[in-house]
Amino acid sequence: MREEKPKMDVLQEASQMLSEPSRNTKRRILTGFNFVFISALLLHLIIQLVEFGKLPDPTRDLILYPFIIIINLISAVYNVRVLWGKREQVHWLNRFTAWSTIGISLLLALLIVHNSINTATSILVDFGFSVIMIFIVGTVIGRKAAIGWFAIASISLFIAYQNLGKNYEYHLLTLEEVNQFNEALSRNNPEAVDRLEFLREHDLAPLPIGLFVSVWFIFMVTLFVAVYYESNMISKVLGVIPAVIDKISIASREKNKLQNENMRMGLELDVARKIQMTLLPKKEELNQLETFEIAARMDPATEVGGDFYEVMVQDDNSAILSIGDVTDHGLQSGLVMLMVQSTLRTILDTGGTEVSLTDAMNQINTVMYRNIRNRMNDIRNLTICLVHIKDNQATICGQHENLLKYNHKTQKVEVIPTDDLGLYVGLIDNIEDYVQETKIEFDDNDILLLYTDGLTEAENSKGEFFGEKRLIELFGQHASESANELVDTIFDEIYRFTGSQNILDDISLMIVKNTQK
Amino acid sequence: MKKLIAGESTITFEETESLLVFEGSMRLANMKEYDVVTDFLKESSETSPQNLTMDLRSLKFLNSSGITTLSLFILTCKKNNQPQITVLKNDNISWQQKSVTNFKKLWDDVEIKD
Repeated sequence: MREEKPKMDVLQEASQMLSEPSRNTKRRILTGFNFVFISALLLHLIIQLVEFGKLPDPTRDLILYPFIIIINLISAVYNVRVLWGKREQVHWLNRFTAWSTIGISLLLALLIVHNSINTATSILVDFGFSVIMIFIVGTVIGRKAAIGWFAIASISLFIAYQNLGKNYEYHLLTLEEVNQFNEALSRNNPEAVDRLEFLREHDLAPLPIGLFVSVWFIFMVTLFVAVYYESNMISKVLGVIPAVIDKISIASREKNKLQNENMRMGLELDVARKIQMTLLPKKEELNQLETFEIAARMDPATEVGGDFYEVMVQDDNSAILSIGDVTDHGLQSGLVMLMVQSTLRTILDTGGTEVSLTDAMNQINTVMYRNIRNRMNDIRNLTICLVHIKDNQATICGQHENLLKYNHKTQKVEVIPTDDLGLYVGLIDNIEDYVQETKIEFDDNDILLLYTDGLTEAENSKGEFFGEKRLIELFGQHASESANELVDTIFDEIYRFTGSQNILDDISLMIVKNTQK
Repeated sequence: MKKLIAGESTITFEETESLLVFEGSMRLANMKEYDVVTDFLKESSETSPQNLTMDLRSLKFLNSSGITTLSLFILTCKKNNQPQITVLKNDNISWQQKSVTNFKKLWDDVEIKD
């Protein structure tokens, strides 16, 4: 399977463009420092070996220095590869290389001063290292790290000062005096030899000026590299600003577009909800029948679905009921619902008994197919069930959810499947072969329950559905209630079941009680 | 083997067996979101033009937009007269009890097996 990288939004891109010069600068400074450090340590080892034929402090020079060189080498190789685009940067490696380089340098700085062959010269020379490092640490890692280094270096400086004693003074010799002393030494003048011995005992052996010059030169190179990249960064940041402004304006346009889109969708949903709620039969329409007690309710989901129901009273005091569900959500579904409702009423409103339910269903399918597929260029469709209730009989047509009937005589709830009574409406041009009617007894005090799938598929926080089984039990237990009470009881129970969960689909319910005496 | 993750469901296509296995609960928000499923099914049917088995036995839930998507796929195959579709269904899952037989209504050549 291919995993795609998440797409960066424009503002993220802009912010990356702005931070890129700074990030690269830090990397260049760190890498420059690594290289200078490696070269200085190698040079030190070579000079010691060539000049004196031995290392002044073998433990330090054979264990610590190689370790420092390896750490710096790892950092240098990683950062150069990232800078050259040869590898992706990794967050932990960025941190590791910066902190390990700086950490090992701090350790070395402390060792040089406090474990040095010459503490007095260390104060003169090696604190120059700390001065540079405060700048580098601040740039590569951050302000807090620079404060840390400053604090440690200050304490270290104070300790070195204490170790030498406040009465210590630097006494400088003229070149003539140096030559005289060296000449005396070469003549094995006992006084000169004794003095040199004495100085060595106190770690104050004379040092050649070349050593001072080369150490300070290395410091200068280190600082120069850091300052060079640091000052270059500002011009780079300035350079990307026009491109960044471009990105920001694109982001702002996208945001506006999104806001407009959201507003449009919000308006669409409002319109859809209005269409849906306006078209449902009013309560007084449901109460027109003398022999049937009808109650119905539809609760729309947050993103309006396409549920609808209709009650069409006929001249012979019978009624044609319908309940249905358009696929998908939003304005388009609302439109489909509007068309279904108009078609239904045109065919079945008054004089509906002259048309068979089967013919009505086929006509509805034709109209919906032509409108949805040809005009709207859409693939929405619907399930719809028509029920003609007359005297003690109900004729059912169309494929939808199961219908439930409470049989007053047996006091049991019967399930009436509609699977074989039709097919999705509006999906294909002709469903005649599949549309059928079935007749059931609908005796006095029997109750019919029609619902949409939003009811049985109402979900609680555990992801469980309300389900048909629960509905059947509830229906049986409360069959003695009036149609209105029964509708409210069932909705209350659904909301008790779903708790704080949003309803994801419209929930529709129609209850019809046969009340003829 | 190709795999499509659609919300809480997956569709796996085993090219060698011309088998599409559906798992989980498929409830993408609207028809538009089902476009990825439509494309995946179309590619699979082009890879296996002779016959194709759709194993729905582990698909616990499919919303009405999803049912429409599968129905349209069947209708497309009917129009092209290929591939021959076999659907494996699970009658213990409520959406399948109702909807799977509709596939055969849409195209009589569809074979449904339990």
